[in-house]
Amino acid sequence: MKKRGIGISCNTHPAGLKGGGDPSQALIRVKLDGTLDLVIGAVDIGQGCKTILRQIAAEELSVPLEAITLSNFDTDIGLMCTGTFASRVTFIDGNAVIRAARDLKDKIKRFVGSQLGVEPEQLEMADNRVFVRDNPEKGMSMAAIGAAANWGGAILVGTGAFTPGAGQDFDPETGKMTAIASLAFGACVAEVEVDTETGVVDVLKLVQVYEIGRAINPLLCKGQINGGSMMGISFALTENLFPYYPAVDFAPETFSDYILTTAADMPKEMIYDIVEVPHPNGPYGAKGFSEMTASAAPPAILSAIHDAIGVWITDYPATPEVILRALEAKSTS
Amino acid sequence: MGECIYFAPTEIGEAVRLLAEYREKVTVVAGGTDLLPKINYYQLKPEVLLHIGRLGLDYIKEADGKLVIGAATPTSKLASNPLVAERASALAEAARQSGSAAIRTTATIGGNLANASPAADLATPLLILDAELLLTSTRGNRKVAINDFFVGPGKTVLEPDELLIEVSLPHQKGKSVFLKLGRRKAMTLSVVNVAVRLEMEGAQCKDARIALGAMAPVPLRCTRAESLIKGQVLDKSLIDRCAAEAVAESSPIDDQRATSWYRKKAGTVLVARALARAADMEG
Repeated sequence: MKKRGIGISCNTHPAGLKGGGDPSQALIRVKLDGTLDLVIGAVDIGQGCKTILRQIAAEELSVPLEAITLSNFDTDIGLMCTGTFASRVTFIDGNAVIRAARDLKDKIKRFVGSQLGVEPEQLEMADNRVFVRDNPEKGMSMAAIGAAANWGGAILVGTGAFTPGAGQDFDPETGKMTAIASLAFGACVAEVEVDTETGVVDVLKLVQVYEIGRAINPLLCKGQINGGSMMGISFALTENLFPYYPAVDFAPETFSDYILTTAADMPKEMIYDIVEVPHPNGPYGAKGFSEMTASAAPPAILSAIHDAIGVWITDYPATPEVILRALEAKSTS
Repeated sequence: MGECIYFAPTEIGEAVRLLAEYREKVTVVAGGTDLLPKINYYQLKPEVLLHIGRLGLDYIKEADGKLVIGAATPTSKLASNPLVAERASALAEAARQSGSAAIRTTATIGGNLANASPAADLATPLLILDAELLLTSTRGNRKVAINDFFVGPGKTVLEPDELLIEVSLPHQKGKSVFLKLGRRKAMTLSVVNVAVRLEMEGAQCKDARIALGAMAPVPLRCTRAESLIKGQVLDKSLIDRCAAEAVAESSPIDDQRATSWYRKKAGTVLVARALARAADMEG
């Protein structure tokens, strides 16, 4: 017999280390042709930080996205970054990039001011050029700035760093402090169908909604939720390092035996959405959230299984055998 | 993988001559999907690789009323060929559920059988369709019923100088059904798979074939279960008894994919469902 059930889970997730103290740095330089190199230490593991950090720099400097090349390939000369973990890169590297871009903007204005014989405060930066606010005809394109600076023996580099600060606002009397840089909120609803004879669980529908401050790139955010959903279903139903725990027999040694779900296991219906309540300290209000997209589905799925068959599964993964044994225990008790 | 001689002959005569010359040293390569992981994990160090992909063994045709399939025919063609769908629907279904799109494109019917995995997806449908295998060598041809082909895990009746070149299926009456339970919906080996063929006259079962995969050292014909329903009027309770009998004939083990306990439970359910579907008694 096939039985259906619905389950709900809610979660929160901080960006960066609890207590802070995990800095990142950013550097931007103007090249000969007026395009820019953005150097960071964070590694793009597929989450899209190369795209969104370039977006942030392009926004601050009023240049096209294509004008920015991001480099993070060399750990010898690369910048300080605590790492790609704890959903911290958008929040922390994003703030570092904003600071680097603003630093560069000041330096570009000073350079252009000296070239045009005007005060830097009179200059505006927009549409890939720098010009006099009251006389927009008078100005220099980024290409002209890049050539003049680099061939003229100057170097235009902006730098920035950001750290939430270890133990921010720590009160030694009470121990009270701002423990986390930002907190994102999420909710997940799963609908499952349980085959009570084979124990096979099918996730029919998954709804995931996240409050993330501001989506710098909504498509990438939904990609994160999609990938997290797949990991969550996999964690809930198939991934198993020790199938005969506490015995270590038949522990998987390769991905042919460590079973991750595939596209074929994804629900027919998937609804993802984003709610934006800007965070005062985030880059344009953005918070970190990516990891929590993987942790919401498993409890929602186990709750849905309970709703379907009246049995709480308390260990992951809820394999067909776990389901059948739980159903047998229920019928004999 | 070290030193290895590689042959890719274009004629069967040349292939069997090489087999006769190198015998046990030869590892035959068809699609390579079972073979390459073994080589990559150092479980196998072939001295001579004999590729059979250029022997013209990729075909599906009708001859003398039989459906004839070349041993190097890829699984993807079994999944999409109209003749296979019409004459051997359980085989087509097993092909559709095996591996992934990439694996089906290269994995072959002959390789799936000669590899002799107890969980081979194509073995159970061929068992219920009374397939006959054509083996050849420099000593001549011989035909082997698929029921006699498998000896144990990874072992068949193939002699060191013999090559499996063709699978033929007699025209069969009745409806055939294949059901598979893996650890996910695609790219998974069977935890248990079941193939069933029933020739019905109304509610009476005239003839029956039942086979279980991943439930014994070889893909298993369940003849005791078959004789339980042959000539009988089928109802739900007889189907359930037949399914229990089929699983009683098997001897599943605990392994990385499932326990023996679970395989027996799920196997019983799958046989009963396959019988009900083949008898048009689903409800």
